[in-house]
Amino acid sequence: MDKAEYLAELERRLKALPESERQDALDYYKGYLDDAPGQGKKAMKELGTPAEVAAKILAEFSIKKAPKTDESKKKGMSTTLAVILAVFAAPIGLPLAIAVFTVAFALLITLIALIVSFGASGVAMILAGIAYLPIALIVLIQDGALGLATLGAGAFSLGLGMVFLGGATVLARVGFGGIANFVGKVILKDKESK
Amino acid sequence: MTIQVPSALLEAFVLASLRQEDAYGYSLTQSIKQTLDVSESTLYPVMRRLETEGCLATYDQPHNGRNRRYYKITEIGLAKYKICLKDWEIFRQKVDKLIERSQK
Repeated sequence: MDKAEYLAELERRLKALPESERQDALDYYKGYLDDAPGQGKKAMKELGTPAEVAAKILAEFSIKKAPKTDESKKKGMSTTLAVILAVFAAPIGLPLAIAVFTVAFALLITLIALIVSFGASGVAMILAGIAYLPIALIVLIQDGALGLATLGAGAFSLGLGMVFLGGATVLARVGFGGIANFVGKVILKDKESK
Repeated sequence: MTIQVPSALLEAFVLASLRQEDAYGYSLTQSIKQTLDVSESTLYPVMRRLETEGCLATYDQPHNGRNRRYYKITEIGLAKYKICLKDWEIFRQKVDKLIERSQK
């Protein structure tokens, strides 16, 4: 390989560089080989292959260019940061979600207990009221006043039972709706904030 | 020597050499090679970097029917040279201290 071939090969290897950078490097190495004794044969050997020479120039140029690609790196960094923050927030976010669902679950259990107890007592009172009626009728034949009182007690029980049962249905409607709303809102808010 | 010369130190060597006299690529490379075992192809990127930083200036001088490009140190280059010397001194003291401690 003579000087011209060496420099042509070097030029080919430096294609990725901007024109001015490439020209400067080629000028330098042309001068370098021209100044070296003996047609630059020994100098070319010492320099290494054009590929090796080009690699060093390209490496230096990519270092110089690095600050310009910083912006995209910053964008990448913010994504990385978000992931890191999310990971760090998980110990707080996850327990929070668990707490929300635990509270909702407790409310649900309480509500079911209330509804069942109200409903059960309502049903019991209605049954008792109904059971009172034949007894009251029998007593009414023997003792008018006592019979009326018994009838009244039965009717009272029946009425109260109906009120309790009605209350239980209202409680069920409002309560289940409320819990559903509560959970829904928390989840929606969580999604909005994300 | 197995220690690779850091590029900051190579810059200092180029500046130190040009501080004594202007030089062209081949002569500068040969003079640095006398003290440092560096490969010839590592010096161009160092000089190019110093040139873009304004530490070196170039001028052409006719030689054997063509233009030879000479490098000379600028004021900025001289200031950088002083900083390099200071940095090197600090680094050298740290290494000395480390060696001293390890040999006690």
